[in-house]
Amino acid sequence: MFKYFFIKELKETLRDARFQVMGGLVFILLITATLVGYRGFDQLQQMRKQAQQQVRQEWVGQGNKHPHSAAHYGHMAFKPKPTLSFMDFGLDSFTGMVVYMEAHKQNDILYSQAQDSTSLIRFGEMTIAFVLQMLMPLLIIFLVFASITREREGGTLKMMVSQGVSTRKILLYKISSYSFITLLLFLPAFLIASTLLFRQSHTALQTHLTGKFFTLLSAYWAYFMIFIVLSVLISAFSKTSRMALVQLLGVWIFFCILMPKATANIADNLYTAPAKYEFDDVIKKKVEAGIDGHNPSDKRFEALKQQTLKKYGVDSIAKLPINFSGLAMQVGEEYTDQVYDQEFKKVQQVFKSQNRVSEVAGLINPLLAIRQVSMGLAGTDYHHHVKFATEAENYRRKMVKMANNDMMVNHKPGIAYKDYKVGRGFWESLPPFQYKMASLNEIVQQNLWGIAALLVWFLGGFALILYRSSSISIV
Amino acid sequence: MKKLLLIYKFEWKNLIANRIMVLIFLLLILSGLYSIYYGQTEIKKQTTHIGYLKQQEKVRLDTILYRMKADTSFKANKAAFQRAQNPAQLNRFVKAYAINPPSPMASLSLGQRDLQPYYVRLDATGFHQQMNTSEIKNPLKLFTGNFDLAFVFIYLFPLVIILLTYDIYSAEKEQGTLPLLASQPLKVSQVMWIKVSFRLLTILGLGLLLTLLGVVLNGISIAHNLGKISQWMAIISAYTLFWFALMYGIMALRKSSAFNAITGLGAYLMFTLVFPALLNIFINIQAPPPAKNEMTNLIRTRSSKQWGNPKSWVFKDFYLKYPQYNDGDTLNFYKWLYAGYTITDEKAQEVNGQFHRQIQKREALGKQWLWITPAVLAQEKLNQVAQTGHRAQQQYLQKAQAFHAQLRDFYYPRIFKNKKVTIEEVNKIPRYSTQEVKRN
Repeated sequence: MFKYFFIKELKETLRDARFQVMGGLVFILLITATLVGYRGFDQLQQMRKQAQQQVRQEWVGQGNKHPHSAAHYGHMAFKPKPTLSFMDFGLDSFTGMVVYMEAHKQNDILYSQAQDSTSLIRFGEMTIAFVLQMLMPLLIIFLVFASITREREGGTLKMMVSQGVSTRKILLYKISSYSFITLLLFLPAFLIASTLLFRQSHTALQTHLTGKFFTLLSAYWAYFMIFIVLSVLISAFSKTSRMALVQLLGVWIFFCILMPKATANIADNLYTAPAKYEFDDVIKKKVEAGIDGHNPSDKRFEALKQQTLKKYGVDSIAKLPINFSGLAMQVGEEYTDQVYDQEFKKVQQVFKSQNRVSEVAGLINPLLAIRQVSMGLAGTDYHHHVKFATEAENYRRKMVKMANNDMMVNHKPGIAYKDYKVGRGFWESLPPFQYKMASLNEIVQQNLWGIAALLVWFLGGFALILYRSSSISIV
Repeated sequence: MKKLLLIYKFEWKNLIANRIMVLIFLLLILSGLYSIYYGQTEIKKQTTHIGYLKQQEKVRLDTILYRMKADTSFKANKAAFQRAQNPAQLNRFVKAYAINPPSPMASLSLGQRDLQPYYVRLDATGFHQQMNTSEIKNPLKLFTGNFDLAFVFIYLFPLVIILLTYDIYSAEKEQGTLPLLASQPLKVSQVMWIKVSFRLLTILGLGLLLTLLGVVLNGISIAHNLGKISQWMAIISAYTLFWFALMYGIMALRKSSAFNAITGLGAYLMFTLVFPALLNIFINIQAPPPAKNEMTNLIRTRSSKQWGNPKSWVFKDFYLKYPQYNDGDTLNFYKWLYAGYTITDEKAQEVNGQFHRQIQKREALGKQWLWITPAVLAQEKLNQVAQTGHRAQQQYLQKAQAFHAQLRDFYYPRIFKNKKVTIEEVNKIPRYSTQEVKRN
């Protein structure tokens, strides 16, 4: 029975000029987006990889010098493009791509692509995600809006029901037919994508690549199903095809054009992040006066001095068996780190709360849900950005600590700064910067709202079909 | 003329009798009002920050004056007094903000203002070194963009235009009223023209209304910004006309309502979503954004060499280029520090020139292809009027650099000639003037 439905729908669809144009277009765009997106990704990935290697070579080959001078010279961390990011650029064009890591201070992650672009960048980038999130729903709407109304207007719905096919069955058959047709459209692009992906998997940065890829695939499939079910439902409950189309287009405009912007803007007004200068001021103040405001830096220094002298049982710094400057610097560094962590967490919390608004709004708008899940799996969402920032900062601390420790232990008092030097072996003992992407498990946990929203939409749609299909008017 | 008014009257009655259309218009006006409110809050945040920064700048100058006037017979005061007099230390303490204040129309089209820095803290040390900061911004917010009035015009107006025009002719045909219409003394094509012109005037009127609301609610002075406001209206009108012309062309094919609606929407999709997205990636592949990390690398390498080499390493280059500062001193710490800043900054300037050329190449590519998408074209023009686009940012950065040169001209002669800064001279320290921006 389903076979007849499917063949009928497929034939009708393929014969439909509108579908030929729209479907053909989406198909071509999808292939273009895959190839072009991959090219863009590859270009950036190569560039950053090379730059990272170059910086490493410069670090290792910096010659003999004092470890603290080397910590000032520092290191740079480039944000690698995650392997799956060619499918969804996500926030990558709007976040910085490199951070300079040096002694004493935490630098910003700099140079976003968007800053070097015209307002064009605000109109979006052609990626698989763009086509699937924005255009595919529209195609589905065009495909499905008349699915029930046409049968009713032509009298075939009455005929089917009179032959003993329940309306519920009709709806379910329609839904499955369309889901197959949609699958036919987007599967080729995914096949190309997977070839591109697994061809280079030996160098892949991302862990759980296969798992992420297939989770992404099923998330998008669920997203399409939501639109198919929604369209069939609206078609079933509309009097005319025209009404169904108008309503569905209204839904699309609301979901894809109006709401995403409005949500992000409202969230931004709800939770305010500090300006950069405010952030810097607070850090400076807290480092100087102490985190609680009662522990100024000179007092902290004095206390450390007394404590160290007592520990080694001597009465002056010159008699210490260790280099006190190295120790003081490391202790100071750790204090600053504490302050920085505290403030940075606050900012992150503000942004996470802002983003939470969009996440929860996924329950109203499936686009917001899939957008979040897709970015997360592609490794281009805010969580990944924070992860990169944190790992770069940890690496900086490792580097600085290594330099300070060496200075403390090996740079004996009495030797001038310019006379104490370490060389290549020491530089090499700092492992190269490597950034591990979040695991599939972590991503799922970070995107629970998005996944839940997709599930609610998906199951809610089917529940409506099951419980309300009997109330559809047949004539 | 009488007939024209008669048809307009009936069209108007038709329009307000149609509940859905009235609802859509209300929604459009509400979106417009929200966008005005939103643009206002964004710009207000920026002006509050700017106000605070200006005040901070003043506080610092006052502190300097206070320290210079203080009784130096106290030990603590004396040290502060000496620091205040030393040009090298004074420079680091004062710092000035080069500020890009929002232009009067900025809140209507926020453009790149949320993406780009609008204040930089500057002193006479290396310019490019001081530019390496970024604002704390939620990338998701930057990604979704702003719900400003320009967005309402560029994304929402075309949708309403499509809705208003797709069935002007076809509905008469589909309802069977076409023969009736044809039997009237007016030609069918004339009636169609009048109907289209009625809708055009309605939309243009709405555009004018929203613009005026935006102007009034933001307290933008009409008298001072008449030129800007009329430019804005001209862009909106041209963009609206484009969509009407397109829909008229589709109508002229005399196909069904469904065909018109889908073709119109297809065009909308192409112009506002597909073409811009394709163009974006095309530009990125043809002329990728400059690898600005080279700047960071240059600065850190130079700085490491400066500290790792004897002082003469810097002075050799510096005195050759700036013989006016050469008094044979190759030991002074501050002279050595500031000489190094200048030499590094000059090298950085060369690298920056390369970046600039690459960015210009990107801009040129964009300009060359922008005509394929009127939506982006209109956005660019609106940003130009509001002075919130990429170009305005470049101009601001140039101004900031010119200001930095002023700072250098003030401090460097004093540092290299071993002069103290006197209390009278504190008022001569260059301050960034935003006046010129307003006049433009």
